[in-house]
Amino acid sequence: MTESGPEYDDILLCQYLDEELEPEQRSAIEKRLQDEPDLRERLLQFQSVDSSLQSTVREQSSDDIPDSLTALLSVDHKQPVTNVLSLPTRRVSRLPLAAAAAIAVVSVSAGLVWKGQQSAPGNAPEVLNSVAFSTVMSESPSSTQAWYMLGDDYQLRPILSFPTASGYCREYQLENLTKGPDSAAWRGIACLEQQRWVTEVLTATTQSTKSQAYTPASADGGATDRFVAAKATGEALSVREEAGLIGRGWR
Amino acid sequence: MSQLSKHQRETLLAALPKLRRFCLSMTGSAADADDLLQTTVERLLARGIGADVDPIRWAYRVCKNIWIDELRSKEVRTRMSWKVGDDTDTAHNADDVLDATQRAERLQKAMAELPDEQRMVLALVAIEGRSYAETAEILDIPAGTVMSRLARARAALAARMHSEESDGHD
Repeated sequence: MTESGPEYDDILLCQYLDEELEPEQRSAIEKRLQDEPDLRERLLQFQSVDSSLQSTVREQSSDDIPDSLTALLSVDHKQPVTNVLSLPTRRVSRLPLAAAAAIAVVSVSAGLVWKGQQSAPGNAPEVLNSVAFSTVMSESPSSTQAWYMLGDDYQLRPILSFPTASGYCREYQLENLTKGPDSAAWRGIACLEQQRWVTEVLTATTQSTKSQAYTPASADGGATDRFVAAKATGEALSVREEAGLIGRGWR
Repeated sequence: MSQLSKHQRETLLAALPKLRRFCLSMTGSAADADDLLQTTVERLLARGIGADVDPIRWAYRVCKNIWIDELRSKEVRTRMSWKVGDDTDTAHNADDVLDATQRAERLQKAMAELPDEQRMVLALVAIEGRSYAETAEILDIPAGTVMSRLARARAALAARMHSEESDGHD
């Protein structure tokens, strides 16, 4: 491109508009703008384009970022979220629910099943009654990799959401990070009841969740599968469906 | 690298509205913009950001790459609202002036017809207010290419707007 002609002038005008010219170049183009009506008209066209673009995008855009997305950056992740699947085309939960539940199982059960929200039997953790638990369950998208910290001792990972006749339930993994006799891991399902996530099924597992080695759902004695089969009224939610519900506070 | 630092996460959190606007400029649809933004954030969390790079510029670059290399190829764009295909919506009677709504619709159509590489430069410079140097870094192209693409994009939009305004007055 030679340093003359309409295309060169367009570039100069863009640089002028975007304040990318050196002072002497700026003076030169301002002198030309005084003398050349066509150049002035061209500059006005470009300014008009920019102004329309900015107002159009401003009207369509919103500063209201989905809560699920904000939560992703707000929570300290223990591990990278390499397999957090965001697109419906890549989403495992489009599988029939039973199949998706089978994929979600990651540990070998020790056989303990805890139902209800009353005081926890055995070593079922009190953290299930905490605000932090409810917050993560309400605001965090399902994932195959991301962990969300509940205080210093526990980490939680929602792995699946599905509809029921009375609302929604989410399957999750929970791990106690402290070392010692209380070290444990669980797989559970909590359902939303009066704006609280109430655990309906809880299965103690080995800490093999950390290996990320998936094992069949039947390995936990089928407790979660039985719950899903009895309560689910449809397929597991897609990322978009789940994000929408998170954004609307599960309403 | 396994995760973002606290500073990087806070920086990205603050920049999410701008990033979302860039996504919207790319996709033309709020739903696709949210998909693109979420994928971008997840990719950043998964792969991290080097301590020596600007997190926001890096995020723009990741966003651009995801759009070009992944989402666009999956024909997400079939839902693009930039692509206003139904001209009956823009029909107006002889007394109509070029009001802001009509102008916006025409601009959206023209924007949709721009090549991706021109639309990205235009979005970063004209909408986001990024410098040519920043835009060159984000898009990984020479500054001279930024200038030529930007000039072509503005010229194309100006021609389209001017042409349709002239038609409207015939």
